[in-house]
Amino acid sequence: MNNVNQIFYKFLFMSIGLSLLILSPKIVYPQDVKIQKQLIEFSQKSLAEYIKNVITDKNFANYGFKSLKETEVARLGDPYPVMVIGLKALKAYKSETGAKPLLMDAKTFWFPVMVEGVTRTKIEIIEKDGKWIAGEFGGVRTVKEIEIVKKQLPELLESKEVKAPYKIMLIKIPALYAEFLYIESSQGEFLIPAMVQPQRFKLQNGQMYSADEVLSKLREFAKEIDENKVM
Amino acid sequence: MRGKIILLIMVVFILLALVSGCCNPPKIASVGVNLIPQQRDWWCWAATTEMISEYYGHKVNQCDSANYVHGTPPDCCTGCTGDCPCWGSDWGATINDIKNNWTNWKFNYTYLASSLPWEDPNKDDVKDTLSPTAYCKKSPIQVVWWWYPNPGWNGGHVVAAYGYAEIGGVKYISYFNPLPPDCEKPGNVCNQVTGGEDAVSTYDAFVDDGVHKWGDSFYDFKYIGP
Repeated sequence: MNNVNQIFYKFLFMSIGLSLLILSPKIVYPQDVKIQKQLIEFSQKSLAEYIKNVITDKNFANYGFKSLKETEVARLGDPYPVMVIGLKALKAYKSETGAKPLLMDAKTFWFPVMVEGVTRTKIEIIEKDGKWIAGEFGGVRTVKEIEIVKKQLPELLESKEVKAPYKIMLIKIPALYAEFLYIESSQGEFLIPAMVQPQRFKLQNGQMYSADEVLSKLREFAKEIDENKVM
Repeated sequence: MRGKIILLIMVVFILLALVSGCCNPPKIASVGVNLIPQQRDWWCWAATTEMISEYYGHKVNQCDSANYVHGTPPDCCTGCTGDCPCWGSDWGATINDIKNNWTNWKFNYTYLASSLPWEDPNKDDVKDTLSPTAYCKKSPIQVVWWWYPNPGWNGGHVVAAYGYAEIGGVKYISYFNPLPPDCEKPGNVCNQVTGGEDAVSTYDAFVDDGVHKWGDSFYDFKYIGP
């Protein structure tokens, strides 16, 4: 009888163990790695194509490069996934509900393009109809604002006692021409403005605000905007 | 026999004339538009109008567009000095505002409430619009992007498409983004800063990248003033 019990319990524990392995998120990791590898490879190829086909001795400065030669050593930095907050959703924001319900996945990765460790511009890679496609290449000013904030990030996280693990994403509110680094952690949701002219919204770049504080403030600006108008 | 030869020669000439009268856009082309940053936060429509009208030799200053569309006072043409007025979403524009503004400044144009296809023998397309070669339109495109979700109902932005390339099967569009503004107002006094951006995208992403959707197009402009 004891033997039967032992076999039963062994079987039970093995089954539970196997189920946990199957259900664990870690099981999907190899697939994630594969997708990430594909993404990185596609992004590198897209950057190389943009540089080869678009950059000339007449326009390299428009794309943030100091010389045409610099483009030969341009590399991708670490990407951020991009989320979008729509104007209507922002207008309807309910205080203290946080950013998460407003976030729409843009299925985009934002890569800084770097030369010897210094950011020059950016390239966006988008998942569209199940395929990766290259999005906007260029944009210098907004990229610089994001990079300045990125450098301040360790200090900012420490100041709010945000401990790993946490997620970092790039949030765009296109209708306000506003961009933020978004931190999701067990200490809460935070937004760090990284945009051109943040004073428009009485915000400061490089300050770590609670997501609610920022969204409550932006909601009031959003309410003034006619959804049928272009900025 | 002689009559048949003459007829054949005539047919060949007619065919040649027909072919040479068609737009045959090359693989890479652009029109000579200059980047002009928007001078206020909601003047993308006015800045792209300035870029395009300048290309046609009849420049419409963006502040004049703002004054026309929104009326005066305040006078938006005081530059980026002192307490420069005309900031904020009140100075944005609807599609009808953009149409009326072009008409006011004596420009005819073609308007489409959609994007332009890359290449289509039966419709206006990106290549025959932007190509500066003979019989093509030689025209920049004033492109209206509407923001996701529900494009058309979440605000939008205007950029000026000025070039295209088709290389190795990849289709690219070059465009000037009038943002960021070249004037800022950190307090009560305005400062001049650098603004505007040159950018490129694949055509697919330019049409729809999950953040914006190309919803309206103004192109094939013609100045009809004195």
